[in-house]
Amino acid sequence: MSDPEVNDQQLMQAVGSGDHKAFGEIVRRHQTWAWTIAYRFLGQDEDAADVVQDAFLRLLDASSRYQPSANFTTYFYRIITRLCLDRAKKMQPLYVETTPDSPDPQLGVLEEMLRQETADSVRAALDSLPPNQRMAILLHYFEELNYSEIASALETTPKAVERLLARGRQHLRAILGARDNFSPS
Amino acid sequence: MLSCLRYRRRLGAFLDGELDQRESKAVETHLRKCVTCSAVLQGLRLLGPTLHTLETPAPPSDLVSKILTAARGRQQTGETITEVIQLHKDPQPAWTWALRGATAAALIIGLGAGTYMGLTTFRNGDSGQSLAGAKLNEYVEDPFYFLDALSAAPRGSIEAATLELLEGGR
Repeated sequence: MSDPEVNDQQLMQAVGSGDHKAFGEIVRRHQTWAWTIAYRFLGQDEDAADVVQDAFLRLLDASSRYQPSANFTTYFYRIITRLCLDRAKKMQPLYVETTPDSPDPQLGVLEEMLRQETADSVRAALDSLPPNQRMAILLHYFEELNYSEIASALETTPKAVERLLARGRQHLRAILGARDNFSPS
Repeated sequence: MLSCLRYRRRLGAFLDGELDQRESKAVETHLRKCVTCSAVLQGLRLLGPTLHTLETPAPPSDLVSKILTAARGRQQTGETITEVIQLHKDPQPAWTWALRGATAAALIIGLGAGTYMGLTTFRNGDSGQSLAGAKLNEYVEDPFYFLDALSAAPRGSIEAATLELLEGGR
């Protein structure tokens, strides 16, 4: 079942019929982007891993009811988004100091410090956003979803997404725009 | 300016290509004339690259195996999220509801019977004969008269008569 020509809808139908290998293939195909969304939203390894595991298990539970007409990615975005938002409600808002990655050998020490500082600032700025705005921003800027797709994931309307993005951007510019290095490299 | 605010609200959608042709053209025309809105749009353009400095580590190497292990465990127990929620609800067996209903009915019947007995005591007892006519009406008008039967010296009782006698002698 690791045939790349088998699409996700077909895999989900197989999972619904009890095919464990099909489920394994679904997990392998989508675990990275699921993790990426969850981590960017929550900012913490453990929480992100919990959400991702929960999301795949819910997918498994719902597989017998999955309709092949439904776009798998849209469906899975909705599950992950909902779990992230639920998780955020339980979490206290906090700023998490990210562990610096290995320094980029291409950059000098000063540039590396500036890069890290900017990354930390972005993390803090995102964490300060209300959960719905944060998710809209992430789905737009990192997943490159359009307003309709974001609306589907957030179970709202495209007009509401426009408002969420407008407020999120305003908030981020207020925090990040004051920095000297708020400019593309 | 009001018109500036109206256009500024749509700059994000304009940048994202979410406006229809007519709206997009209107924003473009406005941007040609408005330096402030053009600056705001430029600021919005810079936000994307800044956000992409956010670091995202790779997923844990054991994430896939953990998920598959958890899935196998659920398949063995037959547990699903739906079932877990139902287990926590813990439904009561039907006989407990029947017992509660019977208890409530017995209490209501007992209270009703006691009230009836109290009423008949007033109307038919020795002390009740002296309470004919206006006296009976007096007690009936008192909405709590039937509770008098529970007191230490209910009206018409020997205790009440004794108390009357004692108070009359003072």
